[in-house]
Amino acid sequence: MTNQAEALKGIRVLDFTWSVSGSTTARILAAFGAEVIKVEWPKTPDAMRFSMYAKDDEPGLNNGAFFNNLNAGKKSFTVNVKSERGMEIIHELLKKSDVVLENFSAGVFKKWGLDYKTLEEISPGIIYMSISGLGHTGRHKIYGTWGPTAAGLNGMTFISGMPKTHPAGWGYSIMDVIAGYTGAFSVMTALFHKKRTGKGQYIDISQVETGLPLAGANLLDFTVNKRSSKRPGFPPGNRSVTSKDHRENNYRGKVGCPHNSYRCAGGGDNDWCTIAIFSDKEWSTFKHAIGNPEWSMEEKYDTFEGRVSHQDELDRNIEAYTMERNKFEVMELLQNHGISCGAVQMNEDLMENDPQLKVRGLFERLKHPLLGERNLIGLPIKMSETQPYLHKTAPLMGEDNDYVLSEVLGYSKEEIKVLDEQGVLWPNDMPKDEFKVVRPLW
Amino acid sequence: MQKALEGIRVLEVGDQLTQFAGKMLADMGAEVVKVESPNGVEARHIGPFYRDEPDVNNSLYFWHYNTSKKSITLELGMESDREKFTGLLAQFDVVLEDFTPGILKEWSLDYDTLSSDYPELIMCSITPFGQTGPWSQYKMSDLTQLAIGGVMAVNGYDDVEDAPPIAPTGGQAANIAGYFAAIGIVSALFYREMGQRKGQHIDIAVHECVAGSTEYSLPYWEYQKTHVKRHTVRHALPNKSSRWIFKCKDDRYILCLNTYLDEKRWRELVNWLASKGMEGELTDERYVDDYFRATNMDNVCDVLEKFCLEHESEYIFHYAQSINLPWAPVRAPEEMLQDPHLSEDRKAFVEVEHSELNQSFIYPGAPYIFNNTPWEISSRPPLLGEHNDEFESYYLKDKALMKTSEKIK
Repeated sequence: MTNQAEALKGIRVLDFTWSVSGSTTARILAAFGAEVIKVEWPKTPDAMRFSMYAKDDEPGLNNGAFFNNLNAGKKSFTVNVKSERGMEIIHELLKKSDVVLENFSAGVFKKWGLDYKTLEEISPGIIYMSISGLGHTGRHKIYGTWGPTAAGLNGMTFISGMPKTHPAGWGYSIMDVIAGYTGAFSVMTALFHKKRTGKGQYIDISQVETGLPLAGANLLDFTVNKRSSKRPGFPPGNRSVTSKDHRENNYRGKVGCPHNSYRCAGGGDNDWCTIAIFSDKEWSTFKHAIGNPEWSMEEKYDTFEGRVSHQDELDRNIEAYTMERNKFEVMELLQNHGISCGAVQMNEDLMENDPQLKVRGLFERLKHPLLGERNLIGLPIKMSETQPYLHKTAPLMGEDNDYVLSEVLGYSKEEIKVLDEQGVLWPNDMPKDEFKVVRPLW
Repeated sequence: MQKALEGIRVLEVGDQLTQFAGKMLADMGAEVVKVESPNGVEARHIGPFYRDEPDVNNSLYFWHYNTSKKSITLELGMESDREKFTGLLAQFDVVLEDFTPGILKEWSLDYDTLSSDYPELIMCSITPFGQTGPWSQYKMSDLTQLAIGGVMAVNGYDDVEDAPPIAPTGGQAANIAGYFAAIGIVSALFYREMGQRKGQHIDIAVHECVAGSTEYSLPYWEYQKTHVKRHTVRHALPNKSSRWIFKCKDDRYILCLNTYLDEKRWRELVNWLASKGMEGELTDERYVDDYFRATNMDNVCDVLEKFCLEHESEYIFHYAQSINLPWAPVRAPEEMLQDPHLSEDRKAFVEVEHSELNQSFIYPGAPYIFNNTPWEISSRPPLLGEHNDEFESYYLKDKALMKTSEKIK
């Protein structure tokens, strides 16, 4: 794979991101072949370096397990940006970079003297992309947001859940993930523009605003039809139509009934499957597939109207069938009849058994010096000429200091030694191997 | 002002899986032409509809995802229309499609066939499972895709009895795939610009996009061989974490995140609670210690629960933010419109004129602010076949062009 052409070969990204959103952007750019230099400082490490560890591992600075996946393909350069000499080195690196990324709170980069105007002066044509909670402008720009905060503010939490109770939201920081993808698309687009015109760009991304396109039909239903999401029956759980009294579209795309999750044999948290039926013809195929049980032959189920009117009863009957069977068995049976049915797959199902992911090779096996050979999540983009791939595991803290200083900036061994002694590259009062965390984040 | 993707022409022969990627390209300046059957793509038949009146030009679901695009109608099942389609290719950079694997090959419109005549062409196919593999012919829907891709396993409740795993609304499986398709396409455009003018095929599987987008879930299996449990509005983790959603006096819910609480923030929080006489036992100095607090978080939650019930969500939100607590109310999407930071300062919503209805409507605005080449909805979503006439002359021109080039050869 290493012989293949790379879309972003020769592009250098100076990466000040941390946590999840910005790091996701940088990870994607690295997979396309960009050289991503993650700028770090051991006294204020990326919290993801200690957010989660492998079983039985002693918490350390370099063996963060989640970090390994999130920061695959990047280089790490440690430098004290709060020192004058350190900031000089950053300026030198900026001159040799095409892109600079950060996801600090609004104002931090500016305080460092690195607003867009200055960046453009230091490095004409540079692309500066920033992800912050609420953006770099506006009355609440200083508000702090983590992934779940942003999802609360932009409606993404609200649109997920059962009717008549509080929302379920998301079991992960969806807005960190989405902001990361949004960032990658924006930088890619800016690079294309720069390639054609030589012009740089300042991209100001608000994590909250990256959610604007994700609830589009929902928002238009309000702005055009004045239909509020704060109505009985919304969100609809896993149904597409809540009841015959509430025939509103629930923004899942096509409307169907039955359309729900059903318990399967086993009794575990994830022994569930989903079934979604979108036409009377599919309903009749479904009945046939499950052996035309007596209950299913009732005329009231023959039409969409009828099925919606008797949805509770219908779902109970279907669940009585699925409860007797394994989720994969149900999925295979119904899929063989062309019915949309899926097993609720948990992490183990996806990583160990999913035959589709195996054939497609989503996971890339890479060796980390402390964590050993591991499966990392590759990019879900198959390209015939410039296939993105992960290149390497996440970097150890400061792993690429020599490369950055000597190869990129042309420093001599002696000059590097002096910087080291001055504490510009690593805090003088902090031994390299004695980092301990009080407790992992999770 | 020049647009980032100005001059790039995209034929979107697709429906619900391609429309978001197409919109991302179109709103950044690419000319995206939707190629639809004479009945229109299925998205046009999906609600909600303008005034709840179903019509091919009334679908709000279609509207949202098809801004800044054009629409032409061709019946690709017919050879004469396929000829018209291939006649367009010489003038287009990208074909974006979401047919069931195999159909384009039947029509001789697959990448292998087209690339021999058009080596610069970039084709992006988005399908539920990709072009290959044992599940590639499985029938999908948003719900099923979220089940099989691992989103449902991590979304749900730990405080509602018998609750199922939950699939969020909004068509999120296709949304997530849209980002990767758009990223792939622009990377291919960038590569093509590098010199060799070489196009390529991009094969996107929604399943992989969804499966790789759940943050901690897969790493927990890889590194700890543990499953994760669903927690209401919080990360799915192997062990139960403390709740952080509470009901406020105005019946709205608020998220009171309890991570990253340092000593300063903690003391300010306790002072705030105390100023309302609702601090409970939290003034106990032992709570300042991160470890003690983490192990006694349920007591903290009880205090916060009572406090929130007594106060309005907006008050709690803004005060909490003033002492650096990253808390937020759970807003319905439409409540963003009332937030002046978004609507006034950031102009996060835009007005789009629908001349056919003599009305303008508010659409969700820019997901990124580019200083040189801003995002823009350049035109309302197209009526079905609205641009047929414009391209009718293309087919003729292309025939003329082809004749000329044959002569030169």
